[in-house]
Amino acid sequence: MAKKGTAQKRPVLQWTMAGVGAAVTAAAIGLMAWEAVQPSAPPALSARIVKVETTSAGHVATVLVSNAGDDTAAAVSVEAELGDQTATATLDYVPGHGQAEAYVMFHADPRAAAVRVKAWSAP
Amino acid sequence: MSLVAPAASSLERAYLKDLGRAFAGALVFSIPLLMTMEMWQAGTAMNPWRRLLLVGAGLPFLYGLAFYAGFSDRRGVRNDLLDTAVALAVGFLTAFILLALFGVLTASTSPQAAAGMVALQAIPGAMGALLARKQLSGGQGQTDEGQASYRGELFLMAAGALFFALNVAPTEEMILIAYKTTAIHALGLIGLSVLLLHAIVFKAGFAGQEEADHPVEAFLYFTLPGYAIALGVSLLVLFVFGRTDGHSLGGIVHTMIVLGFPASIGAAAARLLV
Repeated sequence: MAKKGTAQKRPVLQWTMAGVGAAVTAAAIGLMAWEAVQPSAPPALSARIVKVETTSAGHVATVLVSNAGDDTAAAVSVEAELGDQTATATLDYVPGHGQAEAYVMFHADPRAAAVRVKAWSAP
Repeated sequence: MSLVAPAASSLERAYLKDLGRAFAGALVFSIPLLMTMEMWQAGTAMNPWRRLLLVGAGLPFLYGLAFYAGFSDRRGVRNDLLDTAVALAVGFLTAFILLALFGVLTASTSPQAAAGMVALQAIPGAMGALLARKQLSGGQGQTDEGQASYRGELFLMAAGALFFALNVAPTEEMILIAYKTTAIHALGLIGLSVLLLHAIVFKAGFAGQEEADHPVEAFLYFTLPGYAIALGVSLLVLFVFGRTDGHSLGGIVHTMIVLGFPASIGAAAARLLV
């Protein structure tokens, strides 16, 4: 009989894990449900040069592409223009509300280069 | 030699058999990863700190697996440590030989790249080596039942989740699925993950006798913690493979749920493997 009494009592670890499990699962469901009811916006991509490094091969500009939309853009092509020189790069993905980096190389200092996102596809 | 110590030679022969089984286990568990392009790239392209995190997180898991399974008969802390070390050696050797045979490792591969590639592959290989025996040794968990064995079950779930997550997380498909699916799809994946996890946990006798009579208690104490563990392990693996970089919180949670599906199957299957 006493054995039955102790069997009913659960270790603290078990209570804690049950609580953590319920909280994590509920949070994941909650966040996804909240996202599901939000209207989704198409990718809104913008590009800018965030860093310029001089290497032995030339001037390398780091282009940060940000996506302000909800949907992810795939195969994002980025073009940078400096004088008569044009450099292009392609990014596999730029996630919704996220960002990705591309690199373009120029002969001259590309700080003044104009960068823009040309095209993308749906993932 | 056999004249001197016949008992010793049979001991050696028995261990050779264990070792052979360990290599077989390493092969079965690591071939899919050894033939995954992203794993080769990760060996060179991955941030060294993240690689260290993965290997560092893998070591206690390997020791835990040596404790619960191990490929040799002998038990005890020393033998478990020995099993872990030997399993790592088996994992490294298997990865090195196969990557060389696949032409991924060549004479022109830089030592850093080779070390990174092999180290990354050695962990799942070592897990396979330790699971080769496929059985729980008797003699533990008979005292202090509730807590000790519960902790053990949680550990096994985490190990299973880590193994399955590790197998699919390096591939681009994980993020691609996350991009292709909407929040509604993700909700469906959560539902299916939890449902399958619960079905396997409940049917495969994960929970003790007490829980077997109470599906609600099994759900609370095993299924929900198991799913949280699967999600946590998924997040760790995604971070290690750089799949969280540049993503918003919603994006990270979305990918975590996608990877959480195979991870929770792994968590549930761990019980069947060990």
